[in-house]
Amino acid sequence: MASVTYDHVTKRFGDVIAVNDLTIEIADKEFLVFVGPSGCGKTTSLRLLAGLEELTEGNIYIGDRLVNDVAPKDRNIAMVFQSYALYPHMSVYDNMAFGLKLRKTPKAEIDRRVKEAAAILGIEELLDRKPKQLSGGQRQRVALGRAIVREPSVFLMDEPLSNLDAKLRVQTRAELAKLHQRLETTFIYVTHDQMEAMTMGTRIAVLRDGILQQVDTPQALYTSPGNIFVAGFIGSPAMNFFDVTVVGTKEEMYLDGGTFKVQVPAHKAPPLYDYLGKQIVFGIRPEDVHDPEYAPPGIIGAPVKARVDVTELMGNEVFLYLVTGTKTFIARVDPRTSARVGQDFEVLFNMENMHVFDRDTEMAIR
Amino acid sequence: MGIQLAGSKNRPRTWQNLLGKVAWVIVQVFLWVFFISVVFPMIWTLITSLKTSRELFASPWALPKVPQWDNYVRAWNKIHVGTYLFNSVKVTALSLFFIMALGSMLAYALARFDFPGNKVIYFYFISAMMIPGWLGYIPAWFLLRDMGILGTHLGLIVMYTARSLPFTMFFLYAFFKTLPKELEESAIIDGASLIGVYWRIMMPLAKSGLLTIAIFNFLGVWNEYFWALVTISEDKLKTLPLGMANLYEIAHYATDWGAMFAGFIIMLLPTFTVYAIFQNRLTQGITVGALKG
Repeated sequence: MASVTYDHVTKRFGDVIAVNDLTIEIADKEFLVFVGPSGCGKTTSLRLLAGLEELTEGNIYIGDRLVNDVAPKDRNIAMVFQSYALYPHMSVYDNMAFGLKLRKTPKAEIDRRVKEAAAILGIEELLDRKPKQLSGGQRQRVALGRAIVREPSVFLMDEPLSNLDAKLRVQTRAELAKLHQRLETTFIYVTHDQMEAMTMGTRIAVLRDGILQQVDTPQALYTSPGNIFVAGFIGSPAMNFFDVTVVGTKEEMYLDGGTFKVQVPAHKAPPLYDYLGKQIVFGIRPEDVHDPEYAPPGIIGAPVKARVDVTELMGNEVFLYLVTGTKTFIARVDPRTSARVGQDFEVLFNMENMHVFDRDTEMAIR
Repeated sequence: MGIQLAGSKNRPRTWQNLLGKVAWVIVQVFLWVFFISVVFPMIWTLITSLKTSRELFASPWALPKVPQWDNYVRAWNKIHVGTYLFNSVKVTALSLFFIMALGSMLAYALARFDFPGNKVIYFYFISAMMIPGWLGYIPAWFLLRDMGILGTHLGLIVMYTARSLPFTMFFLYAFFKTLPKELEESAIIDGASLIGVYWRIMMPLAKSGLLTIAIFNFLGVWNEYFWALVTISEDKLKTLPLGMANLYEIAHYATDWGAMFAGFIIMLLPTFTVYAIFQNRLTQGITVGALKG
């Protein structure tokens, strides 16, 4: 068990900066998720911590110990790889015991730990099998088991669920969260799937082009994204963005999108005083765009007219692809909606949950 | 009535069937001719090795009246086949050890580590494969003479090892390239040293490739004649191929044909055994090498 600190960490591959001045403190027993699109530096950040890549600049601490020059095996970490990286020529038991054997752990102790981990993961009956005789889900468990037996201070996981089918992924997601609670160890997890990040992480670090965009709890990232990138990355379907002009007065302020004009609630107006007459980016999540007929009571709704382009029935909800002017946006509405393709339709924007961003800096206006 | 597929017609199908059958017969005839041309001399040698010289000339195709096992005893004792066999085993085993140890480490390092000069070394070895072996014999002869190991088993081993390294490296390089990098990284995190990763993870995974190339090298070294002929003059140091040529000379003048053919059979046995045991592996290895090389 240990905390982890990235202190102004930079990693360059030739001219490419994979990780740029990353500073983040991960508390002991925390489940931190690095999330971001491909090439954002999340895996490199993890590999730097594992010691599989050398730092270009900065320091990494595990607990109070500076580990920049410490060999991977001496960092007391365990890593689960995307491809599981099970040794094909060894049985499940030997795969799990390999690290302990190399550390000259007594045989009885190895046996106890392997069997204990196998029991936790429900793979006791697979111990004699070879990896090729296992299903994807079973391999994933063995890879986890191999990490568990080492009893490391920090678990590192590099997209461990990406090779599983959708159903198994959801199931394993929950199991990993449970495992974290049970082991009470620091977990650092890498994924490109924001849903995975939201459901598992106690905190999420969003990366883009090697730069940390925001690190916060899932709820805070969702409700108060720090910039346009985070706002667009977290949440599915993604947030709708409109280029709007702030018009009106301080007392009665509107966002004018050309084809629509919505009023800003009075308590949301102060941060926008300086933007009167200027262009900003207005963001609203699909779940905050309602069919007026089924809108929750008490919301501060701003009506917007649009044409229905496409409808997608998801079962418990309908995604409406709406067009206003040349701009397409998505509404996530009640399945009983009367909206039909080609029809002009009025929706309500829940302005209580509106987001506004500076057009130049792309930062949230607060 | 069978199912008639759209577009299928009877006439072309009949022609196709006929062509297929003719092709099959031609292939079969070719294979049988090839098989007989390979196997017949071996069987003839085996039969002749059990005949007396008189029988051989009287009726070359007939079976021996009484099998002359004594031919084998004479080949072994009088013409020192045992010594040649021991020399061959020694030279082949040591050469194989060095070829496989150096070749696999070289291939592993070149395939898995990115270091300055990596490609230069790789192409240096590849270029050695493009130069005909004969061209290297004269400089190698002088080199080994200056090293003071010309005409010794060590000289043979050094030459065989050097000669086999490029292809061994080339072959294993392709194998190591295909193994996932995560396995190494996982082992490193698990606590393995670089040598540990090579020995405990990479070697077992490349086992099939190692075995295939080891068999190729065995056959190449075991049957090597020319370099041994050029460098080895002392009779007690001669390997089997040289010894057999020597045997031919002795037997030719002494007209002990039975012993000579018995010697050939003794020489053939190890090669034959390796082929018989590893036949599948050998053809498999050729395909893999072809695809991945």
